[in-house]
Amino acid sequence: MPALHACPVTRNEQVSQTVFRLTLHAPDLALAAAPGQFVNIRIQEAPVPLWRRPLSVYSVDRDAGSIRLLFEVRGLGTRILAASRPGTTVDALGPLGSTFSAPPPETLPILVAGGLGIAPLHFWAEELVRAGRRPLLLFGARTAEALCPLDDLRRLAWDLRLATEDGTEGVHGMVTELLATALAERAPQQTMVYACGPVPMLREVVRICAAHGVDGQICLETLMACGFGACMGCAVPARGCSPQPSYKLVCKEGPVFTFAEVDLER
Amino acid sequence: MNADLQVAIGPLALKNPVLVASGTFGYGEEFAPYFDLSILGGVVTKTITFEARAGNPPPRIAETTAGMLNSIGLANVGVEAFLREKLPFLQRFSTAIIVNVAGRSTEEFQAVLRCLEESELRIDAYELNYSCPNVKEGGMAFSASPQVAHAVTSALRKVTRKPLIAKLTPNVTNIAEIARAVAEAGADAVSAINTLLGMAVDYRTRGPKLGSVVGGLSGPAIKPVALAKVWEIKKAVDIPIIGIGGVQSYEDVLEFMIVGASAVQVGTANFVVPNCAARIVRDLQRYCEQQGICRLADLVGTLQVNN
Repeated sequence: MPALHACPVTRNEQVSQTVFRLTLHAPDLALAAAPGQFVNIRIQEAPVPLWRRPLSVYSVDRDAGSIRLLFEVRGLGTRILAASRPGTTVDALGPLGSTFSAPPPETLPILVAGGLGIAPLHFWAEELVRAGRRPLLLFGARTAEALCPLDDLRRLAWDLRLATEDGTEGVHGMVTELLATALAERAPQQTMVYACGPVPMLREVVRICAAHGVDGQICLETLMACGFGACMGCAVPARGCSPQPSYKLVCKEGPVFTFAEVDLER
Repeated sequence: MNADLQVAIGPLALKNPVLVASGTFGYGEEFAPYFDLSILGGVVTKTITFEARAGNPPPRIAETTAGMLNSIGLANVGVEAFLREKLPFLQRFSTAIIVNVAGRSTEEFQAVLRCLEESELRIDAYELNYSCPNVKEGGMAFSASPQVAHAVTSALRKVTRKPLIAKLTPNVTNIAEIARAVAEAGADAVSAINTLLGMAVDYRTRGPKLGSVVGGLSGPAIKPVALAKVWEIKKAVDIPIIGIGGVQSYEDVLEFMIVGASAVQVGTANFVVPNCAARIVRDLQRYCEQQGICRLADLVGTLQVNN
């Protein structure tokens, strides 16, 4: 059940020039949140910026009662959040949204992250490892600087492959090329793909998976005014046979969707 | 001493003047996790049309300075599904249920009202959405001309004896003239204002931020406009006014009431603080007690203006 939480900031680390990792003391959220879900953060009481900012849960520490969020400074809201120091309190609404569904037994979960799309997939990878699975994490970004935070990613027991568009780290190319290679290595029924990142990347992920007959889920990011289904602002085109358009709400029916649910081509 | 927060919107008695605005509160279910809806003076449901509507293509929303633009396009489940799947949920709360209706034509408005009238479920009043800027047919056209607004309201007056509240657009030259027309046609009250027509542009892409290019502006940014429109209407008609536009605190409610509103609707603030309307009711109660205001309704239309 989502709720409003007043969460003290316990740590705010700058992990790249523009990306921050915020740790909040939030025992209830740490217990309730599942991978793929997000919290909607109110930046300040003033009406500018007006909306909350939806941020994926990046990690939880249930023993310590804390959650971590990863965000990029893109505008006024995230700039203010980046300046928050331990001792300040953040108003968080959550956990909100849908979650990833478990990969069938004996399959390899392949996680494909583009840029900040790493945030929900990091949490998902952690949970898979806790459940005794060993996921393959494919992570791509424009440059090495944007491949962050690698300290967390290198620490855990999963297979990590990196790609950068400028070749400054890992394979020189797109993360989707890593996916095509990985899928070619095994039978389609032996893999399950989970992806989060920019829409062009997700489109390519869905296309590559379709070509290999592989199923999976995508986690979407959109503008949201409320985060819980009231404003209907975060609609994305749904896949369907009907000639009439229909939409899915990212905040309530997502952010995690199966490949078959949403139409990224429209 | 408990201050009396009750107000009357014509024949509709409300326990307090705090309602939630159509299109900002879903069908109520979305907000039930955050507070007991019985605290509210009333719930105005999302607009219902005869057939279900998918709404406009995305992007549907944009954030602006102290406001938001939307072009949702009256996405809704249609009247039959509303009666079957949505309205039963609201019955359990002791708050006024005001169903907001719209149609592309007078006939569609009438058809929706007739379906609702046939239901045995409790509906306390109807709000007539004459003023949505986000649909091509109908929408704002119904309250852009006093003649059309009069004709539609007269036609709907014949369908129901329940209170009718006409929701007016600010996107006209003379809102008071429209208010007079609907009052003469039998509307019990008006609610004002719906969203202001607005636009947001991305200078990098040189494209509009909304898929529909223009949309409705709401939020704290429009409160001064809303107050002015309520005042204009108050000077023109005797029927009650429900003030809408940027209400996010008990102070805002007091301002709207002083200017002439008998009640208010909380809109965009629901998205930001889901229990905002409940907090406002609590704060109003506390303020009245602290100030020794026995009857909040006495505040309506008490604006002091020096000549």
